[in-house]
Amino acid sequence: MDKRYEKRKTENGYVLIPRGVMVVFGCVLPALLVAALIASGVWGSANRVRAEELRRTNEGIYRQAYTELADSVYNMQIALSKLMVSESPATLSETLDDIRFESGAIAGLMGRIPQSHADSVELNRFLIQIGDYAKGLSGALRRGGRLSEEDREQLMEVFTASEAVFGEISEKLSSGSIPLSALNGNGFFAQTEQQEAGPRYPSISYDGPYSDSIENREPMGLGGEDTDGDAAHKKAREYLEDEGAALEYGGISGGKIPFHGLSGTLSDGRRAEIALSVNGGQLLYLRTENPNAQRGGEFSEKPSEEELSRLEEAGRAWLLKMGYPKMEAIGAQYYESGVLISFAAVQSARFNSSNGMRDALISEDSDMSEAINMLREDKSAGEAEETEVIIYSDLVKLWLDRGSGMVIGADANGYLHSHTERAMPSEIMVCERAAERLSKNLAIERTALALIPMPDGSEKLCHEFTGSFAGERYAVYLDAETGDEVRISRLINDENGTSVL
Amino acid sequence: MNRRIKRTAFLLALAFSAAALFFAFAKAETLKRGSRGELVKQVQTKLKNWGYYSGAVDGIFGSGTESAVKAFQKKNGLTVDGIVGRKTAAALGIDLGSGGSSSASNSGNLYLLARLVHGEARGEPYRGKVAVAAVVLNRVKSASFPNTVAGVIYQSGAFDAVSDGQINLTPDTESINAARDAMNGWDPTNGCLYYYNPRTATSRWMLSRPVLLRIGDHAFC
Repeated sequence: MDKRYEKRKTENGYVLIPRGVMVVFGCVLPALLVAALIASGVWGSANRVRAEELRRTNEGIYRQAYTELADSVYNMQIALSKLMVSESPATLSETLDDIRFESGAIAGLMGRIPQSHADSVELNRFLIQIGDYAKGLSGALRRGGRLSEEDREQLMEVFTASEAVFGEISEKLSSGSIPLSALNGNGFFAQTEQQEAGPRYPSISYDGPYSDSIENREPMGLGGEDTDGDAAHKKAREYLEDEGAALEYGGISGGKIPFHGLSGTLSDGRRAEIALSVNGGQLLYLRTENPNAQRGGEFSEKPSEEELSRLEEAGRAWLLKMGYPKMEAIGAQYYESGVLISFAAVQSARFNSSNGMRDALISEDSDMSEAINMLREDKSAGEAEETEVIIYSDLVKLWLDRGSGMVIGADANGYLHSHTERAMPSEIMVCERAAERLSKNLAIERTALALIPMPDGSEKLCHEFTGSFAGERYAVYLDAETGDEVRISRLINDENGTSVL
Repeated sequence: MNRRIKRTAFLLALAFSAAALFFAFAKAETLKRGSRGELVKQVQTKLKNWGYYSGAVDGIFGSGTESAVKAFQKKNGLTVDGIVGRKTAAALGIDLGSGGSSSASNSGNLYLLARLVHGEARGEPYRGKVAVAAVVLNRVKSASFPNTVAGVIYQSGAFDAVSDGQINLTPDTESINAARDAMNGWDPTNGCLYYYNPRTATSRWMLSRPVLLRIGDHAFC
């Protein structure tokens, strides 16, 4: 018999099977299966060990976060209690700073624990608002203010309410060990049915970045009659500068500013979408397809000063046409084939300014005196003169195509939220006098009057001094009425554009 | 003879199985001396930012890059071979399987936000991408949420892309631009703090919230 075959008996007799096939089915495949099984076992075992290591590491991180949270909650409770028996502004300010610090720590820790946002949202809000409120009070005390009776009453209310809250949390978090429910996200902070019956955390009435008053602030820039879909169509074509645009009405969307949404195709075939406020039919935002998007590679370098000026001019012309009469470019960001330019509103105002101390304050040997003398040439103190004030809250941002200078996007959300005619003080400190309060390190390059937004939602009229120190640029804002330093911004200008820190 | 054939076949099968398993669990792509391209640039940029590399970011894996990789591997307890394989790439925060990405931005909050947008909304229209980024930034400004971009994004259970790991994908240019537009102030959601996909959402708490607008597959509230 041929040695290449093997004889096997079957129901119908004998068959010859190639030895190669026998080897494959008899040895190779079983060996493969055994090898795969062993390798899988080894791999699975290694992974199980690794998974256990990771689980323990995670548990350690969570336990650390809970322990630190308990500490911070306790420290905040202690600080709040100290406020109740404190009178000195210095001590009050120091204690309020402690509360603010602990609130910041708690905010970070609340984000690190494995708990559902739905369960912890109200607690998170309460703890952050305590810190925010404390920051505002501390700042007021540092500026020479005192706690009002209303503040004292509210602090007492917060302290009383927080005692119960902190007691509950501290008990859960620091009674021996961290419970399992805290580690697997099973509603550790969830309210009981009894707690759901009423508000669990008191609301704090104050003005600050995280306050209810700021979050629920009504838009100031709206006005006029409510518009319907037909009016929105008409306005949309005006903003898109295309009477033949084929737009589809998408209905009204809610939110802080209810708006009509429309989208479709422009006469030149480009896609477009636009949102217009229901009240007054004003522009919220628009975007059109960039006709030169495919040319992005041509614009890998940031725009030159000349190109930027040309784009700013194109943007200003568009804004003027759309009903924004006075706007100043305050910064730009560079995209592949486009540039985003931020424009702030400008308001004319007439101020009386005093020059009484002006000459005495200018030091002849200071490096700054030359700059101040230059400023002096431009300004005639003592007379009511019309000056332009930059309103930093009233922003319209335009996206412009670098190839054509065409406006391909606009966002007027900031403008709609805050634009209104501002009441300005009648008398301000002359720029030169205010400049005497600047750090001697700042080499002044430019000055302006600006209304800047404050954390409590108010605005402050300031002298804006843009200058440089050690190769970096800064903007320093001094209160135009008192000369007090209000804010310092560092200005970054890199390959992505300008930004403010 | 028959026995010898069987033994040889068995050993071959074992070797083949081991090799097959090895290649099944190993990434095919590595970067080593002589490699070129965008991924090499990413490696050089990271090494340069972290002080391991002082040469040019030219996309060419030369001796300088190799030395820098070795120094990085030594410092981070990795096998010191000068080759950017799966583990070294992971330690560098680079995805070798992505085939490169835009070099528009790879820093800080912008890149993190772009990664979230890519993980959560890469099939959505551009406005929907900006909207997802805007929700994150609206949360940062709200007292009800952590007050940093990273805090909001990594808050427990906040985003599916974090839970399923899609946040670790390399974002495309559109996601990066969407994150930039949102950081530059464009908020198509008009102040919304939440969004969900009505077809897949199961949270009763989320579904009970009034929907203010819809963009693509997402309902915003």
